[in-house]
Amino acid sequence: MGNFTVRIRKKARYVDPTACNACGECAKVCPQVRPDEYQMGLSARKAIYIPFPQAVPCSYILDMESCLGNVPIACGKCAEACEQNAINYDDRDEIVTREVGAVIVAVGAEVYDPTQDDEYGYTRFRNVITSMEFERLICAGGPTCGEFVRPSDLQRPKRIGFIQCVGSRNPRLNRPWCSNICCMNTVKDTLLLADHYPDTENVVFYQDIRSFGKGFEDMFQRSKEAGTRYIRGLPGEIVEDPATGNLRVTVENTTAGRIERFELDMVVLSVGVEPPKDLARISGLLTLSKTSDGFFMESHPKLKPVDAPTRGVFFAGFCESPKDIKDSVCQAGAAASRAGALLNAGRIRIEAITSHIDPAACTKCGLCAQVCPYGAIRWKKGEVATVVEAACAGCGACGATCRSGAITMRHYTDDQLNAQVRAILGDRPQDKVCVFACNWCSYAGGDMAGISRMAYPASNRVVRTLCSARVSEEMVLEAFRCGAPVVLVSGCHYADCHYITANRQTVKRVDRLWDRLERLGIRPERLQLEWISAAEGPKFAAVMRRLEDLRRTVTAEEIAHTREALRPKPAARIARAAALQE
Amino acid sequence: MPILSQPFRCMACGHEYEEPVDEERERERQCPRCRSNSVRRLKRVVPTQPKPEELPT
Repeated sequence: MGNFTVRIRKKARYVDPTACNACGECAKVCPQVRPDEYQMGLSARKAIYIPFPQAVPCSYILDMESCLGNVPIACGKCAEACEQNAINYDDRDEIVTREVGAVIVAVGAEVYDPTQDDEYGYTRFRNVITSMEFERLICAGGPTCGEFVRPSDLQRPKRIGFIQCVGSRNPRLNRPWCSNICCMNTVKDTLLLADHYPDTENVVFYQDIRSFGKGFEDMFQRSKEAGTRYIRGLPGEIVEDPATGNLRVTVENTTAGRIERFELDMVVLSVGVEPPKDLARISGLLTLSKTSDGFFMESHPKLKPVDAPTRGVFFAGFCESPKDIKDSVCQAGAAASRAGALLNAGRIRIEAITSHIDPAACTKCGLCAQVCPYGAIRWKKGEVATVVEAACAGCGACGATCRSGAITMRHYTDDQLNAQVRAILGDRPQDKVCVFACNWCSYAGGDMAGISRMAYPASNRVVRTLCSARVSEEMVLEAFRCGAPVVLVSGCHYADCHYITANRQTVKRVDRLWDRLERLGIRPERLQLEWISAAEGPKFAAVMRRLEDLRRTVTAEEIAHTREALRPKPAARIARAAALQE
Repeated sequence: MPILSQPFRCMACGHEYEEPVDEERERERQCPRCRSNSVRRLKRVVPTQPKPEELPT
């Protein structure tokens, strides 16, 4: 757990921050001009610049990609102008290596770029801007020193429209998630405009205004009282008047049930956020999983919301999910506390239910390392796999995947689980439904059905495993071999797996088993898969009723054929006996 | 990466349907008719190009 070796690239600044006094003489003489990224390209900077006014340390840096060159020195004007001799063209990137016990991932997110889909004519109409550009235009430290003007004629716009959910909640763009911050950002912007320019008419086009959070509903009401119109409906079309640069917006007001047309001086696209493009690289470095929307997946959404699945790694901010400043600060505090608790523990107590690899039996295939959701199995091609027991959570996905039987799950061994299967099907197996239920959800769902006094057939017999991924193909086949008419594998719902993504292995395995049963002439429907949460007692009962109906359709001949088809072949039987003797 | 539709069969009610599958964003399978999770992904049969000698004359 923890114990990371981190290699950090410290980028070359080409300016000594201890010598630079930020006088700015170098920037005055620099001939290279580039769009200022901090001002969203609305103003320019030089190749030698301070990234933003509050940057720490407050010293210049040289953007070598924009500079005329340092090998050989092509210009050198900044060095000539610098009285402090702070410019160092020979500066190089430095690799710093550190041993750390915890890593906090706080890489943030990126803002949706509407140019790629030309959303609402963003690339064609100069007076269509994004909410980020709006921020810079109205900011006192912005390119216009807080004078709010529109790009086409530098005149103050009097009628401004805000369009919500640009790049968010849009399945067409494969961005179904809500970006969380845009609604309140727009409400804040309308209040700013009402404060700075009371004669401005603001219209907000929205799907839903999500103003949950302390004081947010009050802000929304104040915005409406300040005169902002909120139209429920997103514009279908924007047309520019080439003479004036004004924008004609057509929208269906779904509240009033009519088409409305507006002539606006400026339109602000309230753009959403998306995961950073290099998240996959960080994911690979730290063995992290991502949710369907591409943000990092936490270890557990309720119980461990700041922990990464890899122990010793924690999340803060947008990289885990879109959230506002307050939530990001809360999460950062929690992540720091969790990291502090880990670092100060000295010794760590772990559950005894971990996997163990027998090096003599390991065939060095590496399948176990591929399926481990915690990255707790170390393996290199041609080498025996080893388990990092401090990182192992005991789901058993590796044990169920291992083809050579080299992996033993402590306290939930294959022999123990198979013995349970044989025991429950020892007497009148044709009357039983064999149920493999995961400890955290499905088994608890069965409990819920029981304590709620729900009626369901008494034919089911439950074998509890820690995770549905612990159920190997051999266990299911053993149940059929013992005469089970129907077998159910059940676990947590996809997003709720208590072992991150282990239940994805269950799906793959059951898919393979269906194929295999069909090849053997066994009705694949006799194997069922269900996700049942701890609260779904009614679903557990309903599934049991359905399986009882299915059980009644399975004939004695079918069971006999299944047993015959799955009977171990003599060679395998001999090998198994030899293994047992050993 | 184009998102392709894949055929599925519900192992509870037998309903067959197609659904777009994004390999990178795998979702929980659920039969649209009976809501069972016993949904089997069927192998897509790829039509092969007949050899010239197999074509009818």
